[in-house]
Amino acid sequence: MRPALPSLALLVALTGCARVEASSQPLPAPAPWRVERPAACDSVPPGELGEKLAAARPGAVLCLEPGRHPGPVVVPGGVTVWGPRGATVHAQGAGSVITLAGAGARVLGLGVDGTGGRYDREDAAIAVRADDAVVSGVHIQNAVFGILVNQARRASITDNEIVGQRDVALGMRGDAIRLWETSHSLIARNQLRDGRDLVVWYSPHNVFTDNVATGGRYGTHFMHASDNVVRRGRFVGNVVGVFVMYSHRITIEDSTLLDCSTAGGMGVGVKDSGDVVIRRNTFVHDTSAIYLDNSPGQLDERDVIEHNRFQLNDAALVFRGIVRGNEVRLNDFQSNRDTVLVEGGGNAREALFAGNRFDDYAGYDFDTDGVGDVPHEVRSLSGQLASAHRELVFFRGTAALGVVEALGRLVPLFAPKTLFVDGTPRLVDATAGEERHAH
Amino acid sequence: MSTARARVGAIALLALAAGAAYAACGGRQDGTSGTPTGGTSVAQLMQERGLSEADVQAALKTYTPSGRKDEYLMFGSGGHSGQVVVVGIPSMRILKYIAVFTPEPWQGYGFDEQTRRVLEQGDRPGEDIRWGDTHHPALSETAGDYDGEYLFIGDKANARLAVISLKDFVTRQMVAPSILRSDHGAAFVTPNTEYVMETSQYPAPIDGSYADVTEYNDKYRGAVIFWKFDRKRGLIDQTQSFALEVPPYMQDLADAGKKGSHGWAFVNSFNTERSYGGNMESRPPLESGASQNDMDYMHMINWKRAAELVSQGKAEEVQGMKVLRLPVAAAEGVLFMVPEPKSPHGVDVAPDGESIAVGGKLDTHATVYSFTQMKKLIDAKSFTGKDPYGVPILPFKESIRGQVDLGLGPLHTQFDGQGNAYTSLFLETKVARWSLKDLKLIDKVSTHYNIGHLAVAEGDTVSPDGKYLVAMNKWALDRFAEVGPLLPQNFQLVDITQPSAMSVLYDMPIPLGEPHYAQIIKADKVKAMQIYAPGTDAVTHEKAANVVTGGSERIERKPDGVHVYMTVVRSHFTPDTLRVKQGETVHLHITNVEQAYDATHGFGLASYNINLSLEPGEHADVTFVADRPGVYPMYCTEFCSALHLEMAGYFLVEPAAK
Repeated sequence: MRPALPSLALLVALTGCARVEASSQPLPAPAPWRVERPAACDSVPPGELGEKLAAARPGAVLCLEPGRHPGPVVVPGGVTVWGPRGATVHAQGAGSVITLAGAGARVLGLGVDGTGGRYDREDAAIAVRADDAVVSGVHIQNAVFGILVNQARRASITDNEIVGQRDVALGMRGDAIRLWETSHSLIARNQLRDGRDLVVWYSPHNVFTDNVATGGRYGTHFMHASDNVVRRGRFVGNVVGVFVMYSHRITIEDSTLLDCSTAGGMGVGVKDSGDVVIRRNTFVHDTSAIYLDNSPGQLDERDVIEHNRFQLNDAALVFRGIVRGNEVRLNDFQSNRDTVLVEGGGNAREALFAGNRFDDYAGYDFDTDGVGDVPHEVRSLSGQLASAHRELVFFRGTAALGVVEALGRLVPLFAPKTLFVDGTPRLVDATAGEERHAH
Repeated sequence: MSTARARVGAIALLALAAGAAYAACGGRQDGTSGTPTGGTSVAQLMQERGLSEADVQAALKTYTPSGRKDEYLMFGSGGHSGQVVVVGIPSMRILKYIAVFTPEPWQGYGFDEQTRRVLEQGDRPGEDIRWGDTHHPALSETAGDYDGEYLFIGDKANARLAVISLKDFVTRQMVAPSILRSDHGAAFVTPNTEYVMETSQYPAPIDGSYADVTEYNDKYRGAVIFWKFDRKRGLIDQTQSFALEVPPYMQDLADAGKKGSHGWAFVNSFNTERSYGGNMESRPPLESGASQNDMDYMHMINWKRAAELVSQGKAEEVQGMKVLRLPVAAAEGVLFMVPEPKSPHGVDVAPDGESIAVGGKLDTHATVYSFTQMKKLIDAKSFTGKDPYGVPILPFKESIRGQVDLGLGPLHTQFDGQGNAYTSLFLETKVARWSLKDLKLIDKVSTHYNIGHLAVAEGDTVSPDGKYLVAMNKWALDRFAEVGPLLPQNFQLVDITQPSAMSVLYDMPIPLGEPHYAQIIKADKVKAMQIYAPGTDAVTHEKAANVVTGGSERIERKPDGVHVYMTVVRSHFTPDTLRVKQGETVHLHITNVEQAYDATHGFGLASYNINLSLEPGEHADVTFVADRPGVYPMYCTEFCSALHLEMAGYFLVEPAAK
């Protein structure tokens, strides 16, 4: 469809761009999934977990001995199951492995290996079906679905490592984590590798912080899930980093959205949503860094895109449908093929652009106030042609399209249209000085 | 690619040439099309109207000069209008709205006795239903190819199916099964139009009884109806039709197998969770409950086997329909479930009959099933289990050829003749072209906005033509002049002839109802008549019982009222003065005795809610009570001749004696 990009490493080498350093850093170390053994607990040898759980009362703490513990098991309310690194609960070929069925149930530290194989029944490593559940420091592998939280409040899903099946096609994997009709929960410091999605549907008022999702489909997918926060996330090599559908008051901040570079790749996608704040993030090598589809949908809503860094993306901002109500401020646009694309033609002049830095700004700053002396107006013929005729994307950077672009600026037949205007373009890093909290 | 590069070179040269001539002029910036100010050269016109070379190419590919006919006809559902819209391709000219479920005065549909009887076939007990929500048209097929003889269309709202003759583009039959309360997978035909499929959408007790929604799992059911089509009569034979009871999932679109999969049918479903709402009764809203499972079930139906079982007497009679009950279907190898990505829409059998494409609207892939693999699993009884109703479930991984990463929201797929598939991507608002053989994405094109279905020329037959694709988009947003909050839909014509990339050629607003699906047939396959034989009933295509010939016009008083035998011809009614007494029942029998191609007449009767369309040779009857005394002009409502205004008369209702 489009020419393959050179490897990111090569691009970094060619551009020598320091901004990429943040994204080229090695991934954080695996989640600290060792959880200290509770001071007082009832030791459980392999083969006795089911029996012990059946007899457990609220407040009971069970500590697994190293070894293989057969599942499936159900953890009642108020009961804690802890395991060291060498203790794993194993699937027996059908159903979910561990179900947290009562309020305050906790699963700590242990490993879960496998699940049943039914996609149509959501065979999960851990299924949470009660309030105030805790799943922390758990290592999950070979599971169709990882952690499914269903109709719960105040769940705490932290420091887990969920490893999908890299050799299985993306569409054949299950969700790494799913929140369904779940609210006021904390999803933090989880490592999701080669799973499919982190799904958040019908689930308001949750915080997602310091999670790492790599090699999946949706790093996080909000559907009818308002008032959520994504903070310090690291989304690498997914089809989409964060996708927001039919949701409102979503904040995505201090996150890295890297290498969402497949045909439909997006760092952040926003569809029919509003009051979305996207700030202090780094977008690198995405097909579309931010894709705004008919958003903000409501007249009294606005989306704020500020203090972000965009580098080496096919397109930094892609608008479709509604443009008004979007405020693009103090961002840094460097080495993107297109800063702005408007699907279906038209322009982005109804969006507010202010104080951004553009690598193709051609003005001066004689008064040295850091702001360009003339507005940054992007009139792109090739962009507008390529928007209407995607085959021309192939020619970007070639002499042929360069001639068209140049002629378009000179003669009226192919008059380039103004895509957007930033009246106060900055000549220094527009995000500099802004406190960032990325990894 | 060399061709494409040459094309860009041509653009550059054209720009250079034009630039030399018009360097002093400015281009348009406001997004509107300019008004030509007298320029004559192509370059000048382009400059004045702000058109690019690509725009001009698109115009050249679609412009159809006066008198030239379109290569293809598209039959699109008319949504809430209850009609079918016929569009010429590539011109995108609307050629006709076919009245189906809704009265339509221009065609006199629902006003004369003949078409009123068709509408009445769709009534429910105690309710005259005069609207429909047309969803999926299906052209009749012979050996898996469109044959141009009939069109079928479903009404989702009222679970009805209609038959349209393409001899005259007139609706001739409607069936309204009592076992369904709504449908969606209607209509889809088997390869020789042996059966027309109608699939329920929202389950309900199929015996028509009352059961509270909390009894959903036990008493609510869906059904797939196989309507037997009698091609000789051009009518559905309800006595030879049957239904298959299916679980209370929400069944969606369908398709019939072809070639190697002939004899099988495939039906999508969602809500395998069996959610039924109750968001004010401490249950999750239906929307949430119905989308929780990661996978739903494609229903795989052996309809030939089902027909055998019905003929063996294994069906039950339920509300006048032979129904093969679910336990029988599950036990007798008629019905199987195959997991599919949740919330799917299209289930589309490829031209070879082997591959079946399914798109889950919340997925990024199209999933391609293999009929051969599924059949082997069935033959080997290799199932992963059974659903709550005892229907065997096939293993997902072993049922599919693979998945192709297309983008966000794959919804519906059709095919061309070069081994490519085309899938609409709802969330991305794009069309993806991909290789059916390699399961690889080739390219995408943007559409505007929120594409639903798409149609490729003959793209769901055994021998697709390709060439053109029409994207059926919802809510046109900024594509057209503002016409208020209710936006037109947008049909976009896409050129798929170029292997390098698809391109949008034309935007066509659809301003009457939300279209859902369309089929595109080669125009020369449709052999429409130009006139009726004298005195023809346009619904039955037989000679009308009350036909009137020139010279036999008369007014007769009979025990059941006043019978007026009238002819119409340019430019008069005979008789043109009708006298009745208040309270008399009036029977008008009107024949257009003309046999000229363009001699359609109307018959409008003021204040009596009557308008007939009388095409050449057509006969129509209408009966009403003359309950209001007075003087009522009647006139021809088609501009039929130079003396059209003079084609009038009077209907005089003498007050009843006090």
